[in-house]
Amino acid sequence: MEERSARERAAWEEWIRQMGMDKIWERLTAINPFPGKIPLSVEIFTSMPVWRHIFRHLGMNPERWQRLKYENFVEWAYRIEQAVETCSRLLKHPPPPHELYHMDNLCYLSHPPAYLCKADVGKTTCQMLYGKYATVEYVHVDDFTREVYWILGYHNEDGIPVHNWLLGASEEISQYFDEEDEKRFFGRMEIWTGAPNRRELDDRLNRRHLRTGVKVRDVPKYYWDPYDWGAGVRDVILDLRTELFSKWLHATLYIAGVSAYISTIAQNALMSSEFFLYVYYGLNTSALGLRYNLFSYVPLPPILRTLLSLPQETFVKRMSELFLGGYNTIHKYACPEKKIPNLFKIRKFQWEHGQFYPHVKGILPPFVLARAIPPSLEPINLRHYLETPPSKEFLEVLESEGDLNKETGMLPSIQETGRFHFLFDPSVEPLRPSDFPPLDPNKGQIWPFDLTREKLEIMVEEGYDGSGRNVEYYSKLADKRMGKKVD
Amino acid sequence: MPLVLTKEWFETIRDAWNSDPSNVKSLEGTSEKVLWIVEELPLSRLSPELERAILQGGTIDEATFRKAKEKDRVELLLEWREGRLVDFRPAREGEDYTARMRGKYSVFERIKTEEDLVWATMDREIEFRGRLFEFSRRLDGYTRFTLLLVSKTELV
Repeated sequence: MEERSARERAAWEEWIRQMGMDKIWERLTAINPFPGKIPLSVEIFTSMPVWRHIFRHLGMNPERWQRLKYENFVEWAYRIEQAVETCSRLLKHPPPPHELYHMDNLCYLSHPPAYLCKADVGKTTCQMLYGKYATVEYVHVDDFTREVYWILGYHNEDGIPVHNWLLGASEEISQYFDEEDEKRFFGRMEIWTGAPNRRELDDRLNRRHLRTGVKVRDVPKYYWDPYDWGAGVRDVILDLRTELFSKWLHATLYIAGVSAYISTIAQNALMSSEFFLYVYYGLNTSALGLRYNLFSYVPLPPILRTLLSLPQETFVKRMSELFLGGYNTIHKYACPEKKIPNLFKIRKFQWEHGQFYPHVKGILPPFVLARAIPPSLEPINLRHYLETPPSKEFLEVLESEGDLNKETGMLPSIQETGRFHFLFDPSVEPLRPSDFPPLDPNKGQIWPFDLTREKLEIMVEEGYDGSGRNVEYYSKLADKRMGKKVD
Repeated sequence: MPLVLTKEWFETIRDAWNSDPSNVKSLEGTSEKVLWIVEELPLSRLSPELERAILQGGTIDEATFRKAKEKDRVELLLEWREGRLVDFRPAREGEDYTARMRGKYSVFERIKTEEDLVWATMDREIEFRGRLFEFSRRLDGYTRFTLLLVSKTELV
């Protein structure tokens, strides 16, 4: 595996040079905390316009980079805790029908904890994904040092996380722990197990694989693809689980590998539909023309393999149906602004500028996002993305800006055209933040998937506040006023 | 007297490019034809008297000037051979090119460094159509040309 990884890494580096991506990255110093170094997955910056601006807005430097890693970590951890609490509350007191989709009743019982779902759906899909008993540990890797810097996950029984396990965390992030964090991550609580102290948490990342002798921390330096990271650390985590949690030996152990930039983008997606788009790109990277995965599950749950064979639009719609009953959430943070100031800055920027700023000014509705055509590094067929044919206006854009071959459906690559921007259906107007009720980043909002400016205006006018209370009623009311057929 | 689109303007820029070895070196080994489209040149702000004076001066092609004013853009054709600018003139209708740059004059005015050019291109303020590899290899040359174009352009 090491030999193959070395070959793949060399091939990637050569590919980056051939495309000239290294030269472009050299000029993006404003978003590079470590000038001169090329991060993992550098290609994503050619296709994620808003994230270039977000990182520039944050002002990337080595200290901000470490802080951002901590904030992602801590938000991740508290999301799981909040999910467990929400599930437990809802099990005791099931919500009335009109509050089924209330934002207080939605939680990150998702895998990874990056998109909101209904507690009952989260429980069922977790079982569908992983089986009845599963331990899932997320392995996060620094894009510049290629070192594992935290491993955190949870053990699920019957589809619900029953215990959180912080297996390891580098001192780079544990330096930021506050009193509240220390209570959870140093020692043992009913739903938390960490390590006795900072040093032990860091030291666990130095545990070596019995056969290869490679430290957990160094696995990504030896193994190329996130799938291989998972395979490289799995045995050691299995051993640690045997030592620390022998009562969980009956459960399948899943490892998910992801880098800091990718997890920042995924975990901080403004909307659920946008997150599902990123999941599609992360696991089905041929959609972006990448030759490796941006995210991995080891082993890959079979249902994901099936879902990923669908076109992008179908995938985003199915995921929105499955987890949110066909609604779309504006994500909420579990931590307060004081704890995660940089993540709050990200949310504010996205909310004010939209998900594809500066190419699109405004917030793209979910059903438009589902039909986004990304710039791909390899030629690709339109069928990969769209479930139904594009509108006349969209087709014109695809031809004039994407060089679409109308007869074959083929779109040429960025390498041939230099197109760095996503293509969207121009017949649908982006939404404006001022159209929505004020957003509380700790509460989030929920809206129908087929939201348009007109529908949004009617719903707000009729008294809908974005909280999810009676969302179905307001959605149907708006459809009726817009002359749509309502069941 | 506006110095844009005149014969003198084209010649000055071409000569200035070729007389600086560092310019030629920046596109060393490059042989390509670039269609360089500049939009929103403030030609429409010229007074009728000044416009008449320019056209009567005979240093500018009237058809090119009128087309540029009407469409609010100029289409320039640049041909580099081994880094030397061998041809620089208004583009003809349907002419072949290997790459295309398009942007507003005010955006080109803002470009001071290669970093500025990368941001403007990735943000679509300047639209580049061509091979990514060639774009990234020619950032220095394209930036130098942009600076030269702006520095030699007097509009009012």
